[in-house]
Amino acid sequence: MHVIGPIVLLTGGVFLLAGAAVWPLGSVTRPGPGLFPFLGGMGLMALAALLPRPTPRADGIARLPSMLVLGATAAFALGVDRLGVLPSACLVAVASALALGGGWRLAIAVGLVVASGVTLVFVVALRVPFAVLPVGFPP
Amino acid sequence: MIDLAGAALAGALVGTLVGVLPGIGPAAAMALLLPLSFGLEPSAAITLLASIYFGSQYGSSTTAILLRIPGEASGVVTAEEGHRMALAGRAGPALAIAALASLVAGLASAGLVWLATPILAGWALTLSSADVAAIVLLACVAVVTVGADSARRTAASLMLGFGIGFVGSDFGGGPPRFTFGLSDLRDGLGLVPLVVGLFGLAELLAAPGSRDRAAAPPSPGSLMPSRAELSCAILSTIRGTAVGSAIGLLPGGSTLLAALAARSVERRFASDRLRYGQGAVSGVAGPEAANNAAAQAGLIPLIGLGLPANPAMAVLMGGFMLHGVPAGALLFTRQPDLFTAIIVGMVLANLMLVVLNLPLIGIWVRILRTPSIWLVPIVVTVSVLGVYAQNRALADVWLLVGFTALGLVLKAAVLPTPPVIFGALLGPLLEDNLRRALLQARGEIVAMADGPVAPVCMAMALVLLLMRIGRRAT
Repeated sequence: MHVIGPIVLLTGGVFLLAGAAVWPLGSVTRPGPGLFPFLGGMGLMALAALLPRPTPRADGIARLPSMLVLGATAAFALGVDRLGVLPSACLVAVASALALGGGWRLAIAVGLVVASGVTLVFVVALRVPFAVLPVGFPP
Repeated sequence: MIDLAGAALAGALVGTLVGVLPGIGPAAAMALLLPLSFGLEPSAAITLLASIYFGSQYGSSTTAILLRIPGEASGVVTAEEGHRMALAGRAGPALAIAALASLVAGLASAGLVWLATPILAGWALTLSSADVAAIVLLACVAVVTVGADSARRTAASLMLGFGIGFVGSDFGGGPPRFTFGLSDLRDGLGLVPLVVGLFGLAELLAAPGSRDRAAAPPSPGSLMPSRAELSCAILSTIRGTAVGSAIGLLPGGSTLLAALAARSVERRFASDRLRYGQGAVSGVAGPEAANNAAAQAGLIPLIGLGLPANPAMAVLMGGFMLHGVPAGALLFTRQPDLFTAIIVGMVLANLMLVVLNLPLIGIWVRILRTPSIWLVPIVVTVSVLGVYAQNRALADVWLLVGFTALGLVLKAAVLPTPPVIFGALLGPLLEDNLRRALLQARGEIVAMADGPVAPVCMAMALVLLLMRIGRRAT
């Protein structure tokens, strides 16, 4: 587990250094746009080497549910233009409920609560100009 | 006035809910409501967002005392003595003392914000780029050295935040950096997806069922404290307010730090200091006054200098930007009435929080006991919709996915997430001002420090670093 921190910092450092290489570093009198990303990249590389081993245990992260919820959020981004906000939001809610271990009945109940909540809050009360329903449905 | 009162009421309700429920913190809740505040007047929008933050401090104490489950980090300190009072049959007085201490601290801090902020804003006008760079650098050093986390881990998170801050247009109209040709990234990575992803969803998903093991809360009973409890609480509240106000002014000076400092002070000076471990009143009044005072004193550097003292203030700064409200002296010259309205909103929010919290305790506890299998999917969906509703931009939803994943990775790597937000906000400020100062000084570093501010800030940063090294050595 203790290698994750250095890997994150090394990745960030390499990313900043690679980006900094595109722009001029400049000089002390005229610092260029690449100077600070370069310094930030070097700092991250140094901290990756200096990072202490974690003495506190990392919180147990529920990996599979987290990935499923993130997947549902990505599906929202992919589908909202075609499906509309209401079905996409229900999809996120149902998928999240299932990912967290709820059965189908509970997931459908959560989906219904979300559907009515979204309609009341975002459409009726706040009048956010969403495409609420799928393409082709009347508004 | 009606708008302000409505915003204070809505913010107080949402804030209390956020304080009651562990998982979604005040910064994420404020970020979520940012897009929903568009239709409001700027003063009402700022009041709404600030009230959420203040409300979360109040709400946290309720569940901390009754169930030993604080919804917000600062409630951890109150939970120690407050829950012991509850177990000893004094839950009602503990709740009343927490609410009254918070009220007194909140009103005193509102007065302090009213008096001190214009002075600070006037002083800010005299600062050069080098001074601002030095102040921001001091803030960064304070974030790394003052917190309870490992300094190297905090510095690593801060650096990652700097990296996030580099995305977007370079200062002075330079080339866009790290945008990969995407026009959505030209103005940088959005604050709302960053805060909601790192603080909201990542926290929620990391331990989704952690609060389901809550025991049945003891009955609050009568709220009336005894005369001895009241007299002890008065002095503790005054001390807590002073400690909290001072810490709230510091960058990185969180409400948790204020509550911890207040408890240390109380354990030394309170008349009931021998009762610690059995339910000391001062262990509730002092930390509660301190966390509320710190939350509100954070407005002084934010409004006066445009410097956020903690992540919630960073989101509030986002609210200032969205509503075109300038920070610093410009606020007082362009929109002086707005500052007065913000102060009135603070007072209203504090009064409403006491009115809401004590009679509605039963409801808050019932909400806390709702199984997370119901709450988490609803909060996740509202978060996704809130982020999308801001600009109706899919890029924001993708950023939310990315930042949530980053938050989960940072949790797995035991790297703290709040410094990432500081880095993302303070990094560009530091870079812009330092580059400007270097250009103006034509490379002569000594010429940059033409006044006392920059050298004093650098000396303070050095002292903080030495103190941290000394603490580690002992």
